Amino acid sequence: MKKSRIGKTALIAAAVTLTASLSVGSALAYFTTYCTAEGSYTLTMGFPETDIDEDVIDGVKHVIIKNTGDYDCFVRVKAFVSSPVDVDEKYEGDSWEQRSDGYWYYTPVLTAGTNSQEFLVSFEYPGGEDAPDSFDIIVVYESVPVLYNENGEADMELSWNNTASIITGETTTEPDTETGTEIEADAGGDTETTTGQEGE
Amino acid sequence: MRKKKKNSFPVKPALLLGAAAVLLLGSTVGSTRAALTIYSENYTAQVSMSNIGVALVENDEIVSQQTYGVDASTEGTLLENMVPEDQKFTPGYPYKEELKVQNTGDIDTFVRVILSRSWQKDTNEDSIPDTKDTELSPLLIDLNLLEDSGWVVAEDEDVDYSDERIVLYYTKALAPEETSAALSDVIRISPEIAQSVKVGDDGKYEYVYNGYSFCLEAEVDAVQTHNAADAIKSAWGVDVTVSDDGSTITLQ
Repeated sequence: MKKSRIGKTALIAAAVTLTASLSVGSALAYFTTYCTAEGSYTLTMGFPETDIDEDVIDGVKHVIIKNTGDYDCFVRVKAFVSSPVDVDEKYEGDSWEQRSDGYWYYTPVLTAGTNSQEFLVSFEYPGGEDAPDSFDIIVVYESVPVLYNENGEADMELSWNNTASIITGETTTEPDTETGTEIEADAGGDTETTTGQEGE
Repeated sequence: MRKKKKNSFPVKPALLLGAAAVLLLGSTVGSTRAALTIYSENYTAQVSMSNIGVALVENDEIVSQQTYGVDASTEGTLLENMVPEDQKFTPGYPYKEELKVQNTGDIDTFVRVILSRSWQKDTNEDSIPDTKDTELSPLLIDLNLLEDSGWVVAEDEDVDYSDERIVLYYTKALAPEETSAALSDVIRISPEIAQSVKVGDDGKYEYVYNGYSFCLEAEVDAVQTHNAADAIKSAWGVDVTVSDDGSTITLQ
């Protein structure tokens, strides 16, 4: 009796093992593979540096903006005539274009190391009043770094509309920035004012 | 005697089980033999036919591959020739970055690509960026994905790092030597980065992103098309539905 039980158990075990072995075949490894790649690019970003050349020749002010820095930029100017009597100012210049905000925009990109076309400011005395001995023509000019749009074109609108938000350092001691919040600053470019040379 | 014999061993069931075992074994042996008979002459050839291989192609050049018999790096470099030498990198400008996957093996494969993008800074002046800055937005690194080309971006809404990591599945099987459609065409850094300006220690304005590197990593995974649903589940852990002819997959 004892012997037969062992025999039966052995047989059952054998049967189970054989049956189970049928399913072994499907536990195959799958073919897989991989490869990787990575890359990076370091940004060097900075603000353009610009300078202005002004000359008064025969009562006409000639303004040239020079890009003296390492970065391409767009520039715009605004001129004021601070005359004690009424004058009709006239502004003109190749590639200079007036927009509704009163600024004259230089439409091409001012690439690093180049000069803009001349921007001319002239004036007349309409009333025939006595011309003053001298007065100032004030030229304000601004520059912004060039930004490109999705089509890969240098985009003047985009560049001027991308106002920077200044993140103030936490260590600053200025009362209005102590909280470390962001404040809006204008245009992201630098603004410089030059007092004009003497007019006639 | 008879009674004793009968008790010691159940002959009939034993015979039956024995027969069953022989039949079962016989059935497997039979098919193996058949297979061997058919393929024995080409046996070596068949082994070499079963290589899986995959390559990452950037702007029509293989940058990284794992191919049987090819001694090439499986860890390639991206973005090497992004900016032409005579140009300066400009935010917003779309630089060509066409990523494709090529099947360099001998069997059909399904492939996926895991992309991750991040901002990193070089902290020890060896000109290799090494520290990931998670404060800066990976979304500003805009790799333009082409989703109507057969590539599908896996919905990963539960995962909050999905800004950084994108998984794309190619829905079509790639035959040997076949190259997939491009999953991206251009990479551009959003002009918004010009809006982040801070006041430096010296009181001058400086760009927050100045000196940072944008990094793009890609991992290409390939898996056999045979038993694709199981193989993909096993290798990638995702459920897919395979079309009847086995040539396309759909994410579930």
